[in-house]
Amino acid sequence: MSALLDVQNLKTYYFARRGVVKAVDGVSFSIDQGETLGLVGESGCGKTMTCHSILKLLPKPGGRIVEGQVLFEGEDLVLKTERQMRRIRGAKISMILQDSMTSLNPAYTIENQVGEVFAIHQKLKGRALKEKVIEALKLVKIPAAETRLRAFPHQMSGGMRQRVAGAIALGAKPSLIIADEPTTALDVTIQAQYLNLLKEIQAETGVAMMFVTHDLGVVARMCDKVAVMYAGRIVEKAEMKDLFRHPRHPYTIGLLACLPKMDAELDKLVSIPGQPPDLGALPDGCHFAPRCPECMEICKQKYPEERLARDEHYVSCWLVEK
Amino acid sequence: MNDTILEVKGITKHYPIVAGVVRTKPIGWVKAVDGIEFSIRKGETFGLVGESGCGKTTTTKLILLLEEATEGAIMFRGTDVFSIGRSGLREYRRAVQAVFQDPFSSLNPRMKVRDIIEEPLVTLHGFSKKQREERIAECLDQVGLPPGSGSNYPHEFSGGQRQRIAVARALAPNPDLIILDEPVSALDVSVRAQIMNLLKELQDRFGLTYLMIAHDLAVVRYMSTRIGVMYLGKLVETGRSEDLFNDPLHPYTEALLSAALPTHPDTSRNEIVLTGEVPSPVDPPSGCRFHPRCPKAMDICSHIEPVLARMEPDREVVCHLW
Amino acid sequence: MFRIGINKLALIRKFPVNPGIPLLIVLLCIVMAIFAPYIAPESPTKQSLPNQFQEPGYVDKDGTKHYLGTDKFGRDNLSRIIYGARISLVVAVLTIIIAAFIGTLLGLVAGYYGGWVDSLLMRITDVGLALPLILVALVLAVVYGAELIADLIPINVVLVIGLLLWPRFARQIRGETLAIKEQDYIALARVAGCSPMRIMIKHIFPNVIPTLLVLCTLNVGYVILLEASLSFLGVGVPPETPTWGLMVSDGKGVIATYWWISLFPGLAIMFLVLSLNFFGDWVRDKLDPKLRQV
Ligand SMILES: Nc1ncnc2c1ncn2[C@@H]1O[C@H](COP(=O)(O)OP(=O)(O)OP(=O)(O)O)[C@@H](O)[C@H]1O
Ligand SMILES: Nc1ncnc2c1ncn2[C@@H]1O[C@H](COP(=O)(O)OP(=O)(O)OP(=O)(O)O)[C@@H](O)[C@H]1O
Ligand code: SF4
Ligand code: SF4
Ligand SMILES: [Mg+2]
Ligand SMILES: [Mg+2]
Repeated sequence: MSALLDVQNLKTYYFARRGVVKAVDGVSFSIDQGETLGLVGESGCGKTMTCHSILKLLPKPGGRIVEGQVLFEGEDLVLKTERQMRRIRGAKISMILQDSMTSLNPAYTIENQVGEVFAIHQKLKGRALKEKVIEALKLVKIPAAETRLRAFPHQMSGGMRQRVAGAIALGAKPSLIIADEPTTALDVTIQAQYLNLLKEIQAETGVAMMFVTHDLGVVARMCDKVAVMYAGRIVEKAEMKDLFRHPRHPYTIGLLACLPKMDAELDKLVSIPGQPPDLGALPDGCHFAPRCPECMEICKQKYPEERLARDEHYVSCWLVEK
Repeated sequence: MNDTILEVKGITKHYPIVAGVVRTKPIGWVKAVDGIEFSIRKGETFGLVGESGCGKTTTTKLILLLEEATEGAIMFRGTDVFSIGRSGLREYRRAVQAVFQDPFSSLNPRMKVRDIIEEPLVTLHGFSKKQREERIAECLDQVGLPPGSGSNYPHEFSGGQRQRIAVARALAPNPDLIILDEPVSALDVSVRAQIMNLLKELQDRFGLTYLMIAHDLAVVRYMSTRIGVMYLGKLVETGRSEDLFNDPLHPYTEALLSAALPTHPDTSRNEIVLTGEVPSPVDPPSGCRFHPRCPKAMDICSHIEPVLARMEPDREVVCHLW
Repeated sequence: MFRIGINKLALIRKFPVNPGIPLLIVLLCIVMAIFAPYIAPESPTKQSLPNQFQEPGYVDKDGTKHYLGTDKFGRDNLSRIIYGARISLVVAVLTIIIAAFIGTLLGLVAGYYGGWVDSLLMRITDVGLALPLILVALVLAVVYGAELIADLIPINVVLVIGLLLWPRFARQIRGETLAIKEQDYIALARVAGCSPMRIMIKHIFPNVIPTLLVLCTLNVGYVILLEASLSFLGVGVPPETPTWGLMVSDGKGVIATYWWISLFPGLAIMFLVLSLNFFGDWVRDKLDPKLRQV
C-alpha cells in the first residue's frame, strides 16, 4: 500500500528583500494511514513552513515552493490549483495550530466556527448542521457541549479553545491532521489531557497525524515515527523508539543528551555549543558542521545526502557509511 | 538558622478588576498571590513551579518591588524591604538582580550592550567611568561573550547570547540574590543547556543565591536545591529537590510530576491525568483550592482550608491528608 | 476646502511608494526657500502697472520673461511662488517643533505615570483634539492680528497651530509609552534603581523616536495646508506677503480669465503636501519594526 502522504524533496524558499531564506530545503518523508509522524526541530528550522507547504498556505508575497512533490493519496498537491486545494483543506487534510487565541475568530460563536466546515464541505444547514456541531464538540470531549454553542472563544480557557480547534479540524473526518505545536501554549496538566484526547480520537477514527513540536517528551508520548529537522533539512528519521534508543546524527545525540532529566540528579548538562544558523546564510556542507563535535573535513564541503543506517532509519551525516 | 537571605512572610497581591466605562470602583479582585511564605538561604537555588497564572511572576515582582504588596512582608537579611529608607533601598537594588524570560523584551533595543550592562552601576554611583568599563569587560567575559560585543546592539545577537547579556547585566553590581523568571523557556532547546550550565557555574564561582521560576519540572530539578510548588496563588508544598521529586506529598505535586512527559519513551511513569481546568484566581474554590480537581479529595476539603504541616525539617505541605 | 485633499490622500497611501521623487520635490522647495533671493527672477513685491495680468511666458519691456505670468499688480508669479515656499516651510518647521516638544513631554509623562496624571492630561488632549483646528486658528489669528517677525515668521500663526497640534503628538506618544512601559527592560531598569526621569529619558524616549519622526513628517503636510488655508482666508500674514494660500486667494475672483494666478501656487501646495505625505509613509514603512522584519 502506498503512503497516505509522501513528501519528496520539497523545497520552499522565502524570497525576502534581504535575500533568499531556504526555509525548507529538500525535505522528504511519508506518513501512512493512521500513523503519527513527529516533526521535531528548534524554532525557525522550517517546521511551520513545511506544514504550510503541504497545504499550500504559504506567506503570500515571498513564499514559494520551488521544487519537489507532495503526494497525497497518490496525487501531487503542488500541481493543484487554489480551487482544488480548497476542496482538500479542511476536508481531507486539516490543521490545528499552536495559538487557539488567534486561530479562532473572536467575532464568531463556537457554533458558527465549528459549523463552517460542515456548511462548506457537506452543505449542511439548520438542525442537521447543529447536530453535527454538537457531535464534533462531543468528540473532543467538551463538557456540556450543547450549552457551549453560543460561547465566544474568549469565554473559554486555553485548553477548551484548543479542543474547539480540534473539533473544527476533525469535523469533516479528514484522513490527515497536521498539528503544529498544538500543546505548546498549554499547561502541563492540560497538555496531558489534550494529548490523551488526541490519542483516543486517533484510535477511534484512524486519522493520520503529522505532529510538529520541539518537545521530545511529546514526541515520545505521541509518535510512531520521528523526523528531526535542522536548518531546513531533515537530518534523521526513524521509528520513534529506534531514534530515542539509537540516535545516530550528532545533532540528535546532542539534543537528547542536553535535556535535563526528571529522574536523575545531574551535575552538569551536556551542551551543544553555538547557536542554530541563520537560514538566509547557511554554511556550505553540513549545516550542523559549525556546532558538531565530530566535524570532519568533508563535512564542511559537501552536504551529506541521506543514507540508510539500519532498517527504516535514515541519517544525513558523513559519519554513517553508505 | 542565620543564613536566611530572603524571607517572604505571607505576601498577598490582589489586582483590582475594573469594569469598562467608569473606572473607579473595582468589581472584583484577581487573587494573584494569596499569602505565601518561604525563605531562601544563602547559596541555594529555590525553585518555584506551578502552572501558568498561579502567581509565580507576581511573586517575583513583589520581591523586586515592581508591584506593591497588598499584605505581608519581605525580609531581606532581617530588614523589612517595604519600609527601608533611601540608602537601604539602594543597597537592596544592588543586592537583588533579575533575569527575565523573554530575551527580546528584556534588553532595550536602542541601547548598546555596554550601556545595558552599565545601567545598574550608573545608578549605584561611587564608580568611576574607568571602573565601570572594567566591570563591563569582566562581566562580558564571565558570561562567555567576546570582549568586543559591548559596542553592538542587542538585535545583533541570537536568543541565547541575549540571555547571556541579561545575565551579565544582573552580575554587574555584584548581587547576592538573582531572581530568574523562566530564564530558559524562551530559548532554543539546544541552547538551554548552555545557559543552565552558565548559571550554575556562576553560582559556584560567586556564591550567588537564586530564586528560579520555571514551569519545566526537569529544568527546576536540575537547577534547584529546594522547590516550592504553587497552585492558584498559594504555596502547596515545599521541600528539598530530591525529596519532592522522589516522594511528592501533595496530590497536586504528584499530578504535576506525572504530567511532565519523560523525554525518553523507555522511562516509565505513573499517569495521573487531572480532570478539569485551573479555576480562575478571581473566584478560587472554597476550602482547599485544589479540591475540584483532586483525585484524593475528601469531604472536609471543600469547606475547610488545610493548614501548613511541617513534615520533617525542610518539608512543608498544605493538605488535609497530612 | 483643503480638507478634502487629505482624505483623498489616504487612498493613494495604500500604494507602495518610492521616496525618490517626493524627496526631490521637498528638497526643491527647501532650496527654493533658502536661496529665494538668488533664484527668483524678480522681487516678489515689485509692482508694475503695464505688466498686470500677463499670461505665462510673457516678456515685458525690460526683457524679463514671466514664466508663470503676473498678477493684478503686475508682480511676477514665479518669484512669488519661490518666496512663498519660505513662509510655508518656516511655519511648518516651527509649529512641528513646538507641537512635538509639548506632545512628547506630556505623552511620556501621561503614559509612564498613568493614574490620575494620565486621566487629566488625556482629558486636556481630548479637548484639544475636539477643537476644530481651522476655526480656532482663524479666531485666534484674527484676534492677535497679522505680524511677521524678521519678514518671515508669522508668529501668531506659528504659535496658534503649534499649540493646537500638540494633542496629536501627545496621544500617539502616550500610546507608544504605554506599550513600551510593559516591556521587561523597563522593569529591569527599575530593578537597577533608575529614577522615573531617567527611565523616561534614557529608556522610553529613544524607543518612541521612530514614531515621533513619522508623526512629524506626516503632520508637516497638514500644517502647510493649514497655513495655506489661513492665508487664503486672509489672516495671520500681512496682505502683501508672498504666501501660496494668499496667492490662490488673490486669483480666485478672476480664475476664469486669469487662471494662472491661482493655479500655480495651488499646484505648488498640492505637490509639496503630496510629496510630504508620500515621504512620511515611506519613513513609517522604513521605521515600523513589524514591517521591517522582512
Ligand atoms: N513571512 C516570513 N518572512 C520571512 N521569513 C520567514 C517568514 N516566515 C518564515 N520565515 C523564515 O522561515 C524560517 C522557517 O520558519 P518556520 O516558521 O517554518 O519555523 P518553525 O520551525 O515553525 O519555528 P517555530 O518553532 O518558531 O514555530 C524561519 O527562519 C523564518 O525566518
Ligand atoms: N497587572 C495585572 N492586573 C490584573 N491581573 C494580573 C496582573 N498581572 C497578573 N495578573 C493575574 O494574576 C495571576 C498570576 O499571574 P502571574 O503572571 O504571576 O502568573 P505566572 O505564575 O507567572 O504565570 P506564567 O507561568 O503564565 O508566567 C494571573 O491570573 C494573571 O492574570
Ligand atoms: S556530516 Fe559531519 S558535521 Fe554534519 S553532523 Fe555529520 S559529522 Fe557532524
Ligand atoms: S486538601 Fe484535600 S483536596 Fe486539597 S489536595 Fe489535599 S486531599 Fe486534595
Ligand atoms: Mg512554527
Ligand atoms: Mg510568569
